[in-house]
Amino acid sequence: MDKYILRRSIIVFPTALAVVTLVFLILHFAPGDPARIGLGQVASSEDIERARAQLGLDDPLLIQYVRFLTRMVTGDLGTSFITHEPVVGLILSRLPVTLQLTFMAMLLSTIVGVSAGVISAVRRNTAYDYLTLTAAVIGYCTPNFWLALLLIIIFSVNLRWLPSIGKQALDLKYVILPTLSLSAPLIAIIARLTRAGMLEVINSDYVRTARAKGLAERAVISRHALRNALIPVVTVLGLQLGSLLGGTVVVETIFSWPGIGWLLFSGISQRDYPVVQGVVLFYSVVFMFVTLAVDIGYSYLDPRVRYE
Amino acid sequence: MNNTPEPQLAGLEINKSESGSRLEARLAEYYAIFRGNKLTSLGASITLIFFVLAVLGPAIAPFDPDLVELRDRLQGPSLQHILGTDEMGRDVASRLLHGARISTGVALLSVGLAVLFGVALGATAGYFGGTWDMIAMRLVDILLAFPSLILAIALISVLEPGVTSLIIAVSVTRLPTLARLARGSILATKEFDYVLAARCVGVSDRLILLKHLLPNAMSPLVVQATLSTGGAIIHAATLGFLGLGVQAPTPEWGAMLSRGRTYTTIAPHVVIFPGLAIALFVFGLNTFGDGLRDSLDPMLRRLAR
Amino acid sequence: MTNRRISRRTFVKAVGVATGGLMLASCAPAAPPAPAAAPAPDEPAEGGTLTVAVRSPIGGLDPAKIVGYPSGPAILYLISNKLVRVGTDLKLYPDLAESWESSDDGREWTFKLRDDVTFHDGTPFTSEAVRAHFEHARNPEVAATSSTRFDQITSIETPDDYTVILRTDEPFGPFLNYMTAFMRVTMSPASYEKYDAKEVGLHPIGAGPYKVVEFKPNVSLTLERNEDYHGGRPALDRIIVIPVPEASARANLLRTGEVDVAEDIPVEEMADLEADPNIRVIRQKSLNHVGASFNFDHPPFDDIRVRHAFNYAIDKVTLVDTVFGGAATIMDSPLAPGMIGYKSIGTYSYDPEKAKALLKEAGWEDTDGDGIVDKDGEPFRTTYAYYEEFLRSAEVAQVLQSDLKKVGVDLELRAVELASYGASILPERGENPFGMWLWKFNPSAGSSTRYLTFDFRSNPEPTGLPYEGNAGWYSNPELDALFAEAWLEVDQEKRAEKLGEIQEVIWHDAPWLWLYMSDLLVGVRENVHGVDVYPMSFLHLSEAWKEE
Repeated sequence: MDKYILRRSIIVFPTALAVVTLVFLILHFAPGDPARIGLGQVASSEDIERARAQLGLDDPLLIQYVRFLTRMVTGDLGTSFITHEPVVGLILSRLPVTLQLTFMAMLLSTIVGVSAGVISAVRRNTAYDYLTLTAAVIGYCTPNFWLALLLIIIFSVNLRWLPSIGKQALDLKYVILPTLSLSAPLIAIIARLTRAGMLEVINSDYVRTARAKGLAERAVISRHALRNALIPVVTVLGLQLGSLLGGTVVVETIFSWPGIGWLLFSGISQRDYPVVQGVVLFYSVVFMFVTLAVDIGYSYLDPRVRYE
Repeated sequence: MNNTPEPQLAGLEINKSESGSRLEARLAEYYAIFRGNKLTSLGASITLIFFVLAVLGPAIAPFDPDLVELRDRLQGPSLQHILGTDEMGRDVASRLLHGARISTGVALLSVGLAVLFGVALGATAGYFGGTWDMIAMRLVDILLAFPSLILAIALISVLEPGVTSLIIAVSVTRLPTLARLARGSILATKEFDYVLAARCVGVSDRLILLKHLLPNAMSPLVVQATLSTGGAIIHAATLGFLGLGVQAPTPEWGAMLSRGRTYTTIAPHVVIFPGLAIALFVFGLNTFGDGLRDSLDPMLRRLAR
Repeated sequence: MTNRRISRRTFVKAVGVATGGLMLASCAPAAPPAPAAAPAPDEPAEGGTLTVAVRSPIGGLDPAKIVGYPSGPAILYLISNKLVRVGTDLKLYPDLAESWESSDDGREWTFKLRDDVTFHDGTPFTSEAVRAHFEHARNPEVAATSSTRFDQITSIETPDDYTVILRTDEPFGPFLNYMTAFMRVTMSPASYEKYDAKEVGLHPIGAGPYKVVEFKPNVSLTLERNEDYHGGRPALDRIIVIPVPEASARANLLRTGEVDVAEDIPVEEMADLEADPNIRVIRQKSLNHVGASFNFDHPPFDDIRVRHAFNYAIDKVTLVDTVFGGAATIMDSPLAPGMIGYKSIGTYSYDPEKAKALLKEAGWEDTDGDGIVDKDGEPFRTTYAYYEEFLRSAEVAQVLQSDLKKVGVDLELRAVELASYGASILPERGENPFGMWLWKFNPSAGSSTRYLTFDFRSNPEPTGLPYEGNAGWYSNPELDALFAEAWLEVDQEKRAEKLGEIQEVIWHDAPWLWLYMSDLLVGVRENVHGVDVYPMSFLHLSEAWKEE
């Protein structure tokens, strides 16, 4: 069984290399002359030539690629065209707030999603159940940028209860709106999954046995049913990290949340290619390893998945 | 194709009437889905309405979507402008109707392209196996290694702005799932006796793939493609919202929303209606797709992994 | 050579006369009751934190290479000073230099420096700091523009610690104005030794009223009172600057009181904000000219009739009334009212019929009835480039598109990111794909000659990159001759006369589609005083204070 994990882990490295290459190529063929970016609107041809030489843009593509790889191995993702900060430092300094936001979103999704799902399953086919299901469907269909703007219109502009921009402060009121916007689709998914999982488990033999033993309903649900129903939820949580990370770009941009999502967006609008490259790489490497971890974890939980 | 001899082996019936009745059976199956589930029918109706609006939109739109009437800018909903006017004094309803064509077009074309290339990639990989399989699946792995929105953002930021780029960027993010699904279903069926027999008598690989294997994989692919379309619409709108999609004054929904953002406080309708259109359309597609999936569940479960 | 000595006081007065009379126009009748300078009820109170929402992300605060415009210069003014300061009234005042004089031939400028100034890192301010300042601006690593390098200055002498002599080869009319530009903000010379030339903008160390405590580029900047400020103890304990690119978000932050000052609030929300007893709106006429530059290399824009037709085709009155809610002025000269030597010439008033007639005269007529004029079977299609970061540029672009369509011109719009805008609009000659583009100039030093030559003087070389902002390759030898004369003229009155001629020539040639100058709207909380706005679009915060 460890053979599967080993194979799965080994494959990550060539994939990572391919991802790096792809990102390098995409940005290499981007329109516009990187040498002019950061020079300001009016530049002289000498300045442009100097910048080209400094950035090594005159070298053959292969040399640039090899240089890019060697630097990357030593943990150097280049420096921003605009601010001249090292990209790695930029990412690391912005990372904590993105982690904070992502973590809060996961926490909120799990708590709200699981409890809504469990209650829904227990009170199947009641008004509550239908309400939850409808809310879940709506939550899943709402683009998070729109939800973010609606929340701002309601809670910031009209009610003036909550701030419309997120600050780094740990003050809870800054976190509420961004977290809600980011986690809405995930809450919906988890609620539906939990409900489906619970329904399946509730009717299974061992739960019936537990009931027959005379265990209280609450104990049956929490001790026996929930535990099994949560296995797919955990998996989905890991896999949904991808869309959560994608969502951070939008949500952080709207709420001026100083994380790497906003960094990516401003990098793109400033054509700051080293920053874009760095953040895209960072996102995909994180995502790749999380997916790997989920796969491995899941293969322990459910050996059937070891296909091939 | 016409030169290919029809297989005549006993116990192997792959003639036209047979596959025709299979199709009928499938249609009946789909029909049963709608009859059985109100939510699915609702989703299907909403989807259908949006498609009809996309086709008829320009004909029924009360105003020219690009007609600038600066003196009427940012007006709330009224009898004349049922959804109000935007920051250029244009009729929001008319722009949404024209935008429906762009949003559905982008979604359909991007998913269509993804199905085309994804299925070609996945099916051949599954069928031929070996090195090609490995190459194709690594390619899919690479695409799956990116969070899909991040991949779309990275792609579109280096393409010339415009609808075509939007389609390409969204399409690439939809491709890997479809390729995997196609490969899985081919793998599951390619060792069936009738396929082996067809090969023995020299039926071309192409014919086997197109006529025997792919039709079997249709249901899960249709479901996945439907569910994928909802995601494609959100992705496209998100790119538009981030200012990475189409150029002004193209009435793409995400871009409309993005431009209205400055006026959120005094004219929230400029932000509310385009978002509502996106959410409703995605709702339709997803409930429809969910319904399809639920009724075809056994097959999907077998093939998804 | 005998230098005519002028005392600081008389000199300042002289400059006041030269520019002051021309400043009247900046108080146009449209100005709201809230005066530009806040009525301070009492003596400035001390203490408190001022939170400011600015519109541009600030990525670097090196005066030679500012990243974040126009918010960056405003912040720079808090951190350090220049030898000569320009006030919000556009008059010149002594700053780090206590006095200055020019030689009779106008080629040598001697500055006497203050001797009581210390940078935030403890380095004393001396003539060496001025030298280091210019050396940094001229460091090839920095790749600063020619005006930042101040190429006209050919020698810098520092006879003693508190004297600087700057020489130019030719007399240079706008010399003092150049010295007041934000690029001339002087930073600690020690920082140039400590940090790499490119990274120095991440570690701004000045001599100004506030010093940097924490700088997170593009995210936030925290400043603290400089207790040893030579100009007296600054009022505020702290100033926190956060970039909020979305205008409505800035207004909302002001409403909720999360920020005390919001740069550039949307005009649509002005009435609502003014109705709020806790908020005051400051409005300032700006010098920022905005238009659309024509590409003379793209026929038919080499035809003056076509350029005139475009100028007549745009309904600028409606544009200003609606998109800018009246908070803008229609250009009536290549110079903004308030600039030295400004002369009102007249407007190209909205006249679509005249525009059509001019197009027809130039051979453009709709022969196939598709609504687009054509010539030799070719319909009139062209592309307009703009960048969305510029206030209301998308709206303006769509107005151009819509109005030009009414005279039969099909204008395609193309939004380009600000970062690659220069590269797109100012490539080597012949590679510019656009027929027109958004172009504007903010004369940050208040110098008219500077601006006019930047955009309208012929490029010295007929090929390659445009020398400065003349990316449309407009060229008029008569105008070039007038520029040469004005450039050398140190006498303010004669220069003003030359400038008048220059404006007439440019205005008539119409190398731009002349548009507007939009007002600057800044929202402040009622308890904040001393905030003002420079007509060159920069916030003036160094005298701000807060009632608690």
